[in-house]
Amino acid sequence: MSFIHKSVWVQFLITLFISYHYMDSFAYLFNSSQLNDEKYTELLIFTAFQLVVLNIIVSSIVAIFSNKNEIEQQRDERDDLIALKGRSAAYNLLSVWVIIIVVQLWLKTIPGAYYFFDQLSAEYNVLNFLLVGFLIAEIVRFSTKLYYYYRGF
Amino acid sequence: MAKELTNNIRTLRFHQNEMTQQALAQAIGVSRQTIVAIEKGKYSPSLEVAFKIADIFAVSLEQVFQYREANE
Repeated sequence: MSFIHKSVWVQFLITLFISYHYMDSFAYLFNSSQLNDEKYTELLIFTAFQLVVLNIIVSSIVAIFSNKNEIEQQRDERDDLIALKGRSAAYNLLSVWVIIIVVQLWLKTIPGAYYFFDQLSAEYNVLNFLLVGFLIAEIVRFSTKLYYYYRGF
Repeated sequence: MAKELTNNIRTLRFHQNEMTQQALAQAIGVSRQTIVAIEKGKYSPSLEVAFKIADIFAVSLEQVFQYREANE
């Protein structure tokens, strides 16, 4: 397994963990009636912090346990093509997700037909949906890449 | 009937003093995993890489890659 392939695994697992943690924390805030803009902002900042710091720490650990030749190996055309397929899958999902959000915003004008969390302001509701979409798109991107690394094309 | 891309890279490496996949990968400028994928037929390389492989073994492209009927 190349260093780039290992990095994809690491990013995939980190994104899964962060997504689980985010949704679990959100569900906890919601169920315990603590959900408000202030608490949500804290969760948002913590999630962004996790995304950056965990990626740096775990990638560094993987680099330490990989041999020097693997790390110095540049991305080749196969890695680029696989990355492109991953980005394409994520882009398609994000496009659909954005359309869903726009439709939801439109549905907000129809009484009783929208699905926003009442505890959050409209801006934070949109932010929440966008972040969930981003996390799902990242999971799709990394899982697509892993799929093509194993299956080939 | 469907056709598929096959190759003789394993055989050509054998005739080239058992050239390793790593050595071939370094000569071409790709990762060893990419050579493994090409040999197994899991990845069809670009024309540039295909010509580089043929050039390393000093043979024509047709002697490295074949486009033939898939075995049922």
